Amino acid sequence: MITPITLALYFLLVLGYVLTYFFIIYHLMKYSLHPSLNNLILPVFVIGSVIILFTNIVLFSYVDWNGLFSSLVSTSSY
Amino acid sequence: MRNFTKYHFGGQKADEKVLLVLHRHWFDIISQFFVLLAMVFVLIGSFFILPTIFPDIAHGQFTNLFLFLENLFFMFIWITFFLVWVDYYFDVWIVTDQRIVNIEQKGLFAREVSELELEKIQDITTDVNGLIPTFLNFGDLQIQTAGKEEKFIFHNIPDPYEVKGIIMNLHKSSEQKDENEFSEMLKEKIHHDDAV
Repeated sequence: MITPITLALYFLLVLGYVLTYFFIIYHLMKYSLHPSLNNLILPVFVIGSVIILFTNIVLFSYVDWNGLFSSLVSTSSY
Repeated sequence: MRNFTKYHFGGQKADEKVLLVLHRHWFDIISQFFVLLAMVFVLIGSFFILPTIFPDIAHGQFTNLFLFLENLFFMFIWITFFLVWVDYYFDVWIVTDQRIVNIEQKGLFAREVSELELEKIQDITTDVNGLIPTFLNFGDLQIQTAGKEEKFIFHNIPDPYEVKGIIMNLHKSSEQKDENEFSEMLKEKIHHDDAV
């Protein structure tokens, strides 16, 4: 089981990323001077960011955090 | 001159035409992109080099952790790239046939918009200072005004001399228009008085 502290820290990180993501989209949609720019940049940013976030969550779930922490503790006790 | 008819900004008047849209020169942003590029090199380098130095990363319980951290680093580079770009792209000076609008984007949470009517221009000076700005033809353009905000500064814009010429011409035609309107008004008044 993933330790609650690791999970909480990761949640904060993802939250920061998602908030920044939405603020960038807000700026692109509200303040863009040229419509064709939105047609290009917005899809690249939206799709790219979602893919990166998704892969990051998957990779986070694959990490054996308990095993890592226990091996770190046993290494430090030597 | 480029065509800016497709450009629109918040607060644009119905009869107002955008004549120029100016961003800082690309050299101004390239230093920040160099840092990001260096990070990309570190990311790619670490992906190939670290597993050879620490075999546990390639075959062991640290593989997933390593991939996760690499991905996290890429996530950071990706979002920082767009933050830098937003700060650059939305920091803009718009010259229209009626006024000059300065939109200053400071990160994601601060945005300052100021404007200057063409008639209020008193003096325009350009400042291209240094080897690289001279070579790449970019610099500051300062507009002295008659309003509350005494100076209006365009920072590191490309081809400041040409921009100065365009704004000077706009200022002259705006003054000419004012004079014509005033003389028309006087003529009408004189005709009206004569008739009475």
